[in-house]
Amino acid sequence: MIYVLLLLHGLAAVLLLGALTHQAVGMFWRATGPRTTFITAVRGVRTNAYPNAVVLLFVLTFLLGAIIYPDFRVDVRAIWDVERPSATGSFEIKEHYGAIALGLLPGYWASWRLQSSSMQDEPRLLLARKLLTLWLTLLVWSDFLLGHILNNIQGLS
Amino acid sequence: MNQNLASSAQNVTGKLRGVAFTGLFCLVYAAVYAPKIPTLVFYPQAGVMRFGAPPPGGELGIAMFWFGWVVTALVGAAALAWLMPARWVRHSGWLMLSWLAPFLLSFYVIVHEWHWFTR
Repeated sequence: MIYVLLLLHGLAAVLLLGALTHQAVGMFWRATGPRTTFITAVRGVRTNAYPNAVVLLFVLTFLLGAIIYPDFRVDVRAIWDVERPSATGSFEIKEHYGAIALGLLPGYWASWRLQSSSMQDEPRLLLARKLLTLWLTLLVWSDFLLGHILNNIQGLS
Repeated sequence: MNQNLASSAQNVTGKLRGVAFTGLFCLVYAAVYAPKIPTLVFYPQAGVMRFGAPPPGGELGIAMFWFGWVVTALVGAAALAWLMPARWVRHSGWLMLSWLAPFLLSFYVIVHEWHWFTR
């Protein structure tokens, strides 16, 4: 069962990564011409269509990770604490980044939903939206890469 | 029309509370994480959750603080963002704190956990 949950956690993370990366690319490297190639299609996505999906996918990924965390803490990390402290340190960073990203979600979602309000042209809102989206993307990428590498350590050893 | 304007303003204030929440979450999380305050502690081997510091002697096994820190930050930030007067929520400082606080906390995490990489 734990392996199924771990697999689902990884799959949800991949979907989340795809959504956030698409949105970030569309935001920071917007396509202005016709979207005739894969790259211009990615650059031309409707960025304001992503926030709801990102929030749902993040919460799903986070909950799946929280469910399997106790088993990992007892069966794997207890060994790493002594034999591979750098792996424990990497996982510590992953868990705290996951928590920070969870806290980022309401601000991220609100900054996109305020797009059609009376504040839509407020420069500070535009800056907050860009930085919240960028930071959430980077935190999710960090967590994904750390999780993947840490999972591989067990396989390699 | 006045009702629509009032509803729209309330809508904006509600979303701005979400923005304030993000900055507040990071502050509350940092406040409990940095000094490792045991708020709500989960003991996976015993299958129980308790408030406060683990009992001496380790009779309940491994203690997990992370769940409690996340819950504390969620509840604390939500309460503060919800109870804050509307005119405070509309202050533009919360927009800046919403991205600055996670940014700074992320770097603090690396500093705080660096000891694992130098053992």
